Amino acid sequence: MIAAASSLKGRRKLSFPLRLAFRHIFANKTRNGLTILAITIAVFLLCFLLAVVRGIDAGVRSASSTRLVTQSAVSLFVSLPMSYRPKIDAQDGVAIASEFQWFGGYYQDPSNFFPQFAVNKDRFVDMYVNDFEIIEGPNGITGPGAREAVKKAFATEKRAAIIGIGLRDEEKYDFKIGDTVPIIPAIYQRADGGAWEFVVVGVFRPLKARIPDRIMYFRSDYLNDSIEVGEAFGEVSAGVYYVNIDNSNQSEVIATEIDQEFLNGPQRTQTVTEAAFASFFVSAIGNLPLFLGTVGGAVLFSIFFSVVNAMLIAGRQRLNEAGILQSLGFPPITSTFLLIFEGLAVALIGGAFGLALAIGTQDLVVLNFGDSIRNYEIDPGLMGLAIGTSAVLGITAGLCAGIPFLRYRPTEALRSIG
Amino acid sequence: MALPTGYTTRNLVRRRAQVAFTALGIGLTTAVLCGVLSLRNGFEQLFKPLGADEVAVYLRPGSTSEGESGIPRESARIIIKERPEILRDAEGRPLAAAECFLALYMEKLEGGLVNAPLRGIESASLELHPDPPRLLEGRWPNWDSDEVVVGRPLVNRMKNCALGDTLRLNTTPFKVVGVYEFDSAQGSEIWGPVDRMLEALDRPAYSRVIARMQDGVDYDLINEELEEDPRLSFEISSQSEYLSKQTTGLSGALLGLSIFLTLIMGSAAVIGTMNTMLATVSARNHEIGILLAIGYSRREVFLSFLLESAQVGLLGGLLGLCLVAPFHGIETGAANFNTFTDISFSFQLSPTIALTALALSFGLGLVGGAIPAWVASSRSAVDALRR
Repeated sequence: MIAAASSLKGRRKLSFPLRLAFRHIFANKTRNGLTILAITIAVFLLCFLLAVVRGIDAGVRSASSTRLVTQSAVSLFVSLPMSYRPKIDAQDGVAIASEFQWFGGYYQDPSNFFPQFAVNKDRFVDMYVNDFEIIEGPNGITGPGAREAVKKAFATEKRAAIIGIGLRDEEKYDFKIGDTVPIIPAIYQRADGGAWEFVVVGVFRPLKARIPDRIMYFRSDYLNDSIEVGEAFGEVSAGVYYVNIDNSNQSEVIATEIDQEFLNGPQRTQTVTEAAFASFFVSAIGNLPLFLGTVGGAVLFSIFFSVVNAMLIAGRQRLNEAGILQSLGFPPITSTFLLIFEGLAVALIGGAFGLALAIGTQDLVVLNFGDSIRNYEIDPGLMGLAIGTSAVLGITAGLCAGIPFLRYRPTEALRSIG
Repeated sequence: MALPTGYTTRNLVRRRAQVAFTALGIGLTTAVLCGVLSLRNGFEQLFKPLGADEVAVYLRPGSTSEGESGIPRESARIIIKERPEILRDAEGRPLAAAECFLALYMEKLEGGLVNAPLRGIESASLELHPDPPRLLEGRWPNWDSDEVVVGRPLVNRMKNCALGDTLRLNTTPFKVVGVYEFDSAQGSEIWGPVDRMLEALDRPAYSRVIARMQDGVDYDLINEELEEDPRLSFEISSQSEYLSKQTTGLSGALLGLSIFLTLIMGSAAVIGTMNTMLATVSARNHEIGILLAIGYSRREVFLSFLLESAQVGLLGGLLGLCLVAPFHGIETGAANFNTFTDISFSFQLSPTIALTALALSFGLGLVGGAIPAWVASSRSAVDALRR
């Protein structure tokens, strides 16, 4: 038989036994099924962790290059005076500036938390022309006319608020145009001890994927006037200033000019690009992304071990078959390729299931943990990464198990009892 | 008949590669659980300083952290001078201090800004704790100069925090004159004279009053008295109660994370174990037949395979502990979500955590081995031998 095999070898080259390769995937249903399940779980976890980590710095990627943020040079919690805005406006190259004061209240229950900002009544709507589309205004206005209508309503109604589409569509908020929305303050307590009331005049949809859509903007003069007449407690101040500039190339020059203006106080400022401001919030989280990344690495290793292990088991059981293949005239490397094929197939199937699970649960995660896990999204980059990682793992595992086959001679392999 | 324990152990040695891979899978799960729990432990230890019950914190009513609280200067003085529950030292001075707190922009040595906690203190701040802060280098600040001391962990993490450096607060430069060590959440802060700081920052109010209490004070009673005093708007709580409210965000997040990761990684590890044990069982078909034939009961065969799997699990657990042990004591920083400031803490592996992890790995081994062991024990002796 061996003699026959070697003469066969001389005559013609045998093509790769593709059918056998496919049969192998289903040869041991329990083993490969379990391996696929393990990979599914691991790839899901990997996608989840990476999406969380990437969500953390999403704000940096959605930042506008023609917008600066002027903040206190000392602390995020030190507010700038209202008197700074005309001075910022007067700088060359500044298109439009608005104060942005963090309000920090909640709707009905502290768990219903979303950001609210007090902004300038005449400037805010024009600042975000390129960042979000106003889709709904007063009296049922939709479409292109909505922006002007909302701008007008925001300038006339003192308690006016513009909300992101998430606050309209999500069931627990369900804010509609014309609704009066009570927001319970955490910082700006009212003299009557009650909630602040805002009237929804506009709904916007972010044009950039990662701008939050559960957010509310209202008029800073409503907040500050209430404090001045004694209806509420707090400091009359601007928070930070968002500054649109004409030309992104000039951002550094303009930032320096603004900071020079306030160098001697009363509050020293630090003006940075919107991206740098966002990235500060990322670095403020500390080493958390690093922890999650490390855990992701551990997950990756554990998938690797489970695939290698499964392929090693497959390899042991295939020794006999490898001997037969060699006797038939296949080169030893065919058995190696068969194992690589099996590893790749199992890893890809598991990876695809894991990815599908991650994509399928995306809305669930956003719905239930959207408040603490921000910008969670399984984007195409992540999908590619998941599938690519699975492929590399499968091939490597197949190689680990398949390399020894190159050493065996047909007689040795045939003698094995698996 | 006794369980064939030697047999199971020798089997493990025989299939080294597979056992190693399976154990590694379980080991990584254990390591991740241990790592996250150690972090949480290190973080929580900071908030359990000694004698925290004897120290009290006065805040503006309704504020949950000192970052939110604001206290007018005059009423802070009234509290410190007049409240009878505050302990006095030998010379009759109250052991109480008004403090201000602000999250300060600081640059990390490796780049990037963080919110570092800045605290304005008074001389009593250094004396009122039962386990007071210690000076490691330099000296304490002069109370009428623009000087600060920094917590030890900051020296190696932040710019401008070494002895002799200068920190600029708004427009005023402050000189770093000392490095202190304090076993609590306040161990990684920047401290300077409170009134100098308020002036430099152009801020009108203190954040809190902290004081050492007389023995056996009743906080509820004091709160009732404070409520009746028209000059004062304060709420008192013991420091331990106050601190326990400060950890909920990060601590809860870490606990949730550890449970979530353990569940998911654990199920992947169980599946890996199951695969290995199923292969073991099918390769040893013949041996199982022999065991049954020479009189071992099905229960004993079941237990012997279960034991083998549990041994693999335990091995993985030990491996996981070895992986995580080098991290013990390593310092890191993360945002304390409650005050949004950066806080330095270290991995603290404890015996409880190690035992939890070993129990988990043993359990993972048991769960992963159950089905294969049942498969093995339900073979018929004749069929198994016939192969």
